[in-house]
Amino acid sequence: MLRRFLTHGLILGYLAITASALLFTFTKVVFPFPSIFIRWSYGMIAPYQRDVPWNFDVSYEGQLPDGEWQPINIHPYMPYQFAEQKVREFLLPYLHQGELTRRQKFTELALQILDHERARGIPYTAVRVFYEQWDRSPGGHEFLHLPAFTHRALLTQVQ
Amino acid sequence: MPETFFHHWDRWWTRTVPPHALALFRIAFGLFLLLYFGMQIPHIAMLYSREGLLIPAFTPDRLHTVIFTPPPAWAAHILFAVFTLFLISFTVGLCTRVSAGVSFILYFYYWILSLFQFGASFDRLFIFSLLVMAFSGCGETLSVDVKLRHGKWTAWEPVSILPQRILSLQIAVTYFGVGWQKLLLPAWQSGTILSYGFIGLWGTAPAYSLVRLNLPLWFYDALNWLIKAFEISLPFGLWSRRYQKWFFLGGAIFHILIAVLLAIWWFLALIPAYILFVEPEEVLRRFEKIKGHF
Repeated sequence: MLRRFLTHGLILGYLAITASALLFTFTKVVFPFPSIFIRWSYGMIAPYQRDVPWNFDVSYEGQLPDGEWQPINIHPYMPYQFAEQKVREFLLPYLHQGELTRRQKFTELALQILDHERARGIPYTAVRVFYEQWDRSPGGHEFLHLPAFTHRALLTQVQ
Repeated sequence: MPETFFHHWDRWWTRTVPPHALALFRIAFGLFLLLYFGMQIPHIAMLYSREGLLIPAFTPDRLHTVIFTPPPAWAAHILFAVFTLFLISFTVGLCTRVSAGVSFILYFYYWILSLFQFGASFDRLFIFSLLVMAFSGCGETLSVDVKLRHGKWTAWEPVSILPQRILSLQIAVTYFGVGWQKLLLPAWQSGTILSYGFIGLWGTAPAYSLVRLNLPLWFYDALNWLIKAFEISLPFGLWSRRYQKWFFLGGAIFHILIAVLLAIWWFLALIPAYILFVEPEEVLRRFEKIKGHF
């Protein structure tokens, strides 16, 4: 009897959490369940809600002792499929946590890059991170990634 | 009336059934996870150790989060080897529940450590599936466990249908959320999201070739409506005994096209999961029929 009670309690709990996540998906109304469960359930059922008509990239540069800046290739540190790497570089999961948090995370990432590059023997004195944006084109992902068509903004700099 | 409703409710959610649907899903899902994580083997140090660029979901600065400090490379390799071993034992059905449980714990650990940065819905779905499988009878047939217990791979013991119901309902809810949401989202009210999506971050060479055909916008609008019509009917069609095989086929084509055009291949794991929508007794009947031919 207790087992049946617990089983049906579990079923009702699962349905309640799932229904709450669905309600949040459609209405953005949050039900008073532990948010960790709602967020997990929501994360399972609501991908690819929007898109943008531009491409983006996050570029990294390291400053040598003589002051010269040179690009840093971080693909060896992020050996993912192309799009996955870009999503990770862009720190997409932090997008909804506010600009301040996201910049803090970019700073954290930049500090890791600085440490790793110094450990590899490259004596960078600073690392800076840029956000780049350009229009999409049927000519290819990088087709319009040219200085004249690219918006570039500094996200963070560490040393 | 309430008694009848509760009887049907109880029977639908908790009756005892043959385990074949769960077992077949266990094998297919396990093989998929082995492929998914197997592809990561050359890059374990960068993906899961302090040699990579990791920002764990929980900052490891407190007693209960210090476990998520990215480990040294040698520890990451050992842990990954342990994870792979448990995935293998889950797939072949050896100490199945324990294997599923440990796989769940380690997959969740990897999610907090690294996979969270990608933020993909499929990782959450797979982790949830392993958790449910850890409490299921997915090892009660076609497994090393039953081979050792009964001497035959095809011996079986009845199990609760509850895990199969939860997994199939979760998949249906995923399709429901994805599909019905598109009816409301501004971005999905025209085909522009598709034409731009094909030349975006995820666009593959075939997708770019498709866009370069310079097809009119009404083509993308029509495709958009077709996708929405399919996605909003899919969570219901999968349950229909009469039409489910067509929805299985449609779902397979849908996910294959997404993999080919947008390089999003991880949801191919949902195709073998469709067996969870078939009543277990029907799966056993067909299994016995196929077995009879050999």
